[in-house]
Amino acid sequence: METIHTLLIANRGEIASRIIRTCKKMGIRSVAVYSDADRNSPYTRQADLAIHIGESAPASSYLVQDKIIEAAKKSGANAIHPGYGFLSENANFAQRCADEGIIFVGPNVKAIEEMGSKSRAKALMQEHGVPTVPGYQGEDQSIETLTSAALKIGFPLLLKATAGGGGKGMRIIHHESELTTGIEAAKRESLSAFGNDELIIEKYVASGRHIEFQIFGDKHGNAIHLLERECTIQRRYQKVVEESPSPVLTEDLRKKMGEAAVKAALALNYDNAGTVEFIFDEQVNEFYFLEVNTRLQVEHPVTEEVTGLDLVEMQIEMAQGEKLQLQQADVKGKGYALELRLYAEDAANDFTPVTGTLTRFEWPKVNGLRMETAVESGSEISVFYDPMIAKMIMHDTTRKGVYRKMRYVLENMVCQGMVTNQPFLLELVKNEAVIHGKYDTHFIANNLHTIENKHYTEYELSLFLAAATLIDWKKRDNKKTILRSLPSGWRNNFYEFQKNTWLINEEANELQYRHLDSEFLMKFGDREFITHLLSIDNQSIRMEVEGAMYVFNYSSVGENYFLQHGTMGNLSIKKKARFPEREIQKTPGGYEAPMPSTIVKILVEPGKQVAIGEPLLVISSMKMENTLLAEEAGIVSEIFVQEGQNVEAGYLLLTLKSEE
Amino acid sequence: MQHIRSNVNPNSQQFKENEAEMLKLVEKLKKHFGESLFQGEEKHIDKARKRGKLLARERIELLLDQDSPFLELLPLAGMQMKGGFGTGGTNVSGIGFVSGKLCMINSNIGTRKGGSVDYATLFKALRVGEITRECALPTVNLVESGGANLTDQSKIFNYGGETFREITRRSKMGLTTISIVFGNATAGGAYVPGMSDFSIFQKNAAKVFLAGPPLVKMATNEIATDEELGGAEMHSRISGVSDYLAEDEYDAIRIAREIMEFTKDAKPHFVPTEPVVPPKYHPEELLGVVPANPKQPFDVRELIARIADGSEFSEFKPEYGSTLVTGWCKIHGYPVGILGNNGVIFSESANKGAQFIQLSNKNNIPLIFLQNTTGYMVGKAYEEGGIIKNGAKLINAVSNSEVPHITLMIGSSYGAGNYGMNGRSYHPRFLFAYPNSKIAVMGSEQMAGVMEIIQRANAEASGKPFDEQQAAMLKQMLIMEAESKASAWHSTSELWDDGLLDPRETRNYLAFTLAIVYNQEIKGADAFGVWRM
Repeated sequence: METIHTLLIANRGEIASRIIRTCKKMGIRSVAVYSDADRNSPYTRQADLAIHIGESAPASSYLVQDKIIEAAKKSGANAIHPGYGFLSENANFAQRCADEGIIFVGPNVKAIEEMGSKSRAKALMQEHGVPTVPGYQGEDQSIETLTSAALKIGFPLLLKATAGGGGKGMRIIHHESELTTGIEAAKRESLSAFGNDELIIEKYVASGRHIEFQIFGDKHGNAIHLLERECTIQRRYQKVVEESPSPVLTEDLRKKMGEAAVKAALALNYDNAGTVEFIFDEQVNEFYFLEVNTRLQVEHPVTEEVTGLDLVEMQIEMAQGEKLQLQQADVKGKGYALELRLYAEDAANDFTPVTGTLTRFEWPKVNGLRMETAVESGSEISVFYDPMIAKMIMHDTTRKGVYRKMRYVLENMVCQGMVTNQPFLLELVKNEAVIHGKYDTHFIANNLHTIENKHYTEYELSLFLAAATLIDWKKRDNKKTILRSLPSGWRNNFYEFQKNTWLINEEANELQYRHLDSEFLMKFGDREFITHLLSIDNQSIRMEVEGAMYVFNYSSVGENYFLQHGTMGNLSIKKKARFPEREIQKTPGGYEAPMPSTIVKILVEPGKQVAIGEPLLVISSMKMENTLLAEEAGIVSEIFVQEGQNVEAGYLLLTLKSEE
Repeated sequence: MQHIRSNVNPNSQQFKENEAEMLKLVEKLKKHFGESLFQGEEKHIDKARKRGKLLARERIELLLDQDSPFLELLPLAGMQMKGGFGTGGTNVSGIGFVSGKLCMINSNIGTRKGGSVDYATLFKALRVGEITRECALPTVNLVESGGANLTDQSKIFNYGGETFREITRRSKMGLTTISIVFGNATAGGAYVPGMSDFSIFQKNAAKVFLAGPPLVKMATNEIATDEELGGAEMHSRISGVSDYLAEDEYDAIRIAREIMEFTKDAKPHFVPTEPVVPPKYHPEELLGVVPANPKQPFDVRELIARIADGSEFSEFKPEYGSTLVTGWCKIHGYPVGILGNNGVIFSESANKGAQFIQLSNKNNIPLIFLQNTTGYMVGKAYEEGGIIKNGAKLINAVSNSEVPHITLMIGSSYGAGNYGMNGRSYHPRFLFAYPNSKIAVMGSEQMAGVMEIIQRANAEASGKPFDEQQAAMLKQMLIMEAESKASAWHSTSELWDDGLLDPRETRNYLAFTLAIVYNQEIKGADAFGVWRM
């Protein structure tokens, strides 16, 4: 088979960077493609060549096969690596590549096709004696059939897009009442994300653990597995923590599951990198096949760290038709690896994705740390793509070491400009249950109250606010043109302190201060304390409070301040304006977009009578769907948006006239 | 520039004793400042709070730019006046930054006697008006006042009109006045917003009319409500007396800040850009340096050493007329000429002062007068030496000088010395006093002594026996009476100064007032009166 000399990466962000790295190592020319929004993304500069493929929305760029193929031809690429997501598990695309004489770095079309349909995958696995979860995977996709099948399986159950993965098009249904809207939404989400609205229904294994095996096959009938990854800790059905080895697998179980995974690979004539996912029921020590992902996974670095292999390199070798060099017996895990996904999302607010500009992104150099980043200081997290900022991978000889080091990294990492899950991740790696591997797929949902957002002590909070207040003060002080040498806020007949009100998640915290000759007298709550401002530049502030020195890294954008302290953590706060906006005549019964989003579906029309809790609109933001429900009964008076429209946060969507 | 070498030893017994004495006076001053913060009885304040109102001083704090300095003027006015409303009256006035511009702020204390105007409050307003005009400051009035206190009306009515006249005269000069009405502004008071360039009325709060419902009923038999006669909505929508309808107090203050942002910028004569060097000797030491007892002499250079940048002082004619120290220095970067008394004024000192004032006028440099004098020297030799005509030269120079003057009372201020050294009647831009300072025609003991001599002469002439015992008692009473009338507490109560200060704050007061006087063009006088030779 042909040797790959030029590889086009039909993807973006960190995975594009990752693949380019291996290309460089192997002496392969790399070609990046980019949309409008990615024009300044680091990966476009890392590649040997970069080609613009359209507007920001994936449907106008990364998902358009013609554009990708055209870019490949233009750049002379003889192979395409699809990365994950986008076209990675699209059999049509793999076929298209073959037709165009371009090597598709992935498994054969048939394997993708078969695993692309979860129902067929399940049936195939059953044929080959791999255990599966009870459920419905029929071809009849009418709402009625799905509903009755669902009722037969019982609640809770899981609706999954046949073509899905990564949690998209997946929902858990607890009650019959949610079923119909749930099925409709899942179908819609699946259609928009994968171009196919088929669903499968599965019994929801309540306290399962998600364990997957990395498989590799060649075109010569060989298949092996590269051990497991445990990805049990998830939020919104998306993984946040991945580690290997799994803390619950015995050698025996590992062997059994590994064999099942290889069996699955062989059944598919699998000839590239893939992942066989299982749900493991700890209670009964049973595991069930969930699905095969026919692509390189987001969490592949965990396997790389443990096995010492370069999976992208192996993928390229397999795609070139080379034989697997490795025997199953050669695969030995070394030490422990942990991956955390750093997201621009608000853990305290149901992990809502956030957008913004990363003003500062730096991390400490720790042995064993591998950062796979999509961004750099100054990068933007846009509404168009997954809000992942980086994957943080730690490798060490012991599991304890991995967690200890990761904790240190999270404490000292500076990631500012928007709300991220950094504090949440820090709380996770500090959590005793997590450290001891005692968790299930509901871990976050069930423990959110304890790990949600760090609760600072009053004392810690006063330090953060003092730092923010001084940074803010310094900004004003620098702008003074006259009387710069007079003590700030000087009074000949003192009445009250200067005040700064800081909003932490909408909650107001007032810090009062008075500038004395060389220090600040501060007041927070009932406590008064003296703060010495020792030094300040545009990145960090050093101050002394009650005999201790504190250094904060910071960045600020407008009224938003992001502060980070080594041991206390991160805080994102906003300065409250001294003068509130004139009370906007808030439209009574007005519904506003909670975040920047796209209007997916309008479920009502003007004049329609709606009951409380009735769905009004479906909006989508960063590929997550959300249904807006009526907060009170009433009549829809006006709708201000159209399906497909993109709106900013706070945009008035519709008004409802209440019944009285 | 040469710096002053201090001869004061802060560890000396004398220094420590004086510091202790001065601290007592400063403590007393603090106590009075505390009284000036009184904004009305608890029940009035509670009521205001319940209605979502801010207090007068809170309004000022909110109006000011964050971290802006604020120089309150005449905070102790009226503190010893019998029958008045107490320390500071019912108005808070001062200078600070609003939207980056130096600005006069007047805030009625609506929670204290309904913000109605007593004698001290009115005369404070008149003095503040004078400062505003002379310093070319824009003004923001925070209005909530019931108008003249009726029991004082006979004493104030005739003078009160000037406050309105001043608003429009300033307007003619291009100085903006913005008035926010948070409550009552009725009858004459209605002319505060009425005369202003801009007026902002708070919804459901402003009440602005010439006559309220009872008077209207009396006059014309018309029945009308407060809102109909003078509510914010009526004035904003119908009469046009209000330019802006504010939702609430915050909104009103925000609007005033917005307006101020668009008023024209001042054209400062000079703005220091170099980093400011603090004095070599700490201003804290002023407590031990300046004698609490004005009878005790001290070298005024010791004070200058603690207020001038780097303690640097370019002294003029140091070897001549040594009882008046003259020279130039910088304070917070602002060039300034200083005239400081080192005792009684002789002909030489007066002539030197007159020359120094002329020179400062030629160079457009503001002047600071540090008053500590028992007056012009008396006696045969001095009269023969023409102390009158030489003293007159100093008064001529002070009166006709056109650079801004700032006077500080730091000890005694007796007789014509008060005039020659730019006392109240010579209209310095600002006049502040230390709590130890004394103002009178002469020292109290001298005065009692003079009285005794006259009485003794009268008795002798009429052949009556002189009652020594009674005379001694009378003398003692006279001394006490004169002492109290000459005290700084009395002066400040009578509005003879713009405020008393803690000596340690001298440099800050001067820096602030210099920034204010330097905020417009400074042009010295080209001509003076006839110099009697």
